[in-house]
Amino acid sequence: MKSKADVFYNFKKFKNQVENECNRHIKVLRPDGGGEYFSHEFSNYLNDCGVRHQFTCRYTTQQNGVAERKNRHIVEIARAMLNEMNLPLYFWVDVVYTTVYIINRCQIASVHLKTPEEAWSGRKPNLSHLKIFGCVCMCMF
Amino acid sequence: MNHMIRSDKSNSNDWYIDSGCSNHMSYNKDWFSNLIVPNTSGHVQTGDDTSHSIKHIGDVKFQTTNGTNCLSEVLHVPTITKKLISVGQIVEKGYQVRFTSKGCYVEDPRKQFKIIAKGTKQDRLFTMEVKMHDSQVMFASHDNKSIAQLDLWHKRLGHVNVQKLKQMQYGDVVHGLPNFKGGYLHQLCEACQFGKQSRLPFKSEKYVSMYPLEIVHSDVWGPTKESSIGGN
Repeated sequence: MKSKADVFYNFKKFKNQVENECNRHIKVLRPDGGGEYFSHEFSNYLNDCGVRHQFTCRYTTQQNGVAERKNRHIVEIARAMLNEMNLPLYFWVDVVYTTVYIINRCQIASVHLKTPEEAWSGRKPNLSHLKIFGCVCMCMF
Repeated sequence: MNHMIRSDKSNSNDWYIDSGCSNHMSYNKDWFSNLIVPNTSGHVQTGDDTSHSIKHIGDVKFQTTNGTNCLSEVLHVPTITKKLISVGQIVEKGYQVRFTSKGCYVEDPRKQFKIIAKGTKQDRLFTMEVKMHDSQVMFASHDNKSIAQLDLWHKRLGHVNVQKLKQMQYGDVVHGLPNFKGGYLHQLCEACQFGKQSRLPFKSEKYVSMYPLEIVHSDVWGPTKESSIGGN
């Protein structure tokens, strides 16, 4: 996503994808009060789909706790993994991707007795392929 | 050497502070780090004229009530039965040991006689109760393999909480995890601490103003688009 203007396009894509995958519908969208969610186009689309739009006050991140806490969760893990292997910061994108992959396969408090992966797809994930992020690997020919 | 009443290898955490011994010495190899084998074979002669051979020389880290300390050049003598701290060696490092009727104190004259370690007087012996450094205690009491496993998976799963990791394994939430028997990570994970630290602490200011208005600190914020509750 290059700019905030792409939010609308990406949201449509995300909505179609997830609704198709798990056969359910998005009921409520709760973004922060950022301007990207307030365009007429966006509001009309949400109205058409019957999605309720619960926006929070601008510059009041406290009201958007779930998203903000998850950001911090991801960043903390990513930073720890980068630091563990003394990797330079330009691995940032890879480490964040890895972090999300891992979080989806770990037990977290908001999904009881399951991993997010299992809750989504119904299959128990297998972790035996995991290696430490940034560890040395060899190519075998 | 001090007169010792009991001769069994006691597991207590007491080290004897001894002005009559030339070196720190101990018998349990697990407490040592940076172990080296001495070039020439040395012996320690005790009060009853028996001699004990020195196997290794190394450092011992331990925690007292005043913080973490490290004894360097400690002799590893497996056949002795007590742990001794040599006053002579402490003094050579530039510290000072003060004996009183309440106990004894190791002080640093270079830092306004700050007390580094404290010993108590038991009958007529001066002892220091210490806790062996965590990592060594862990390694002594748990089997190494399961700790290494727990460590490895902690790192693989993006430094996940150990409690959570064990829960995942007990609850059979995912495939492919080994069985963790050991209880804890063998030491505090440095990367976890860094991960949580978003900003380095500010350096403390050396210059402190002596009278009012010498330095005025200012932090201006605004202007703001939002009006306050009062409407301004």
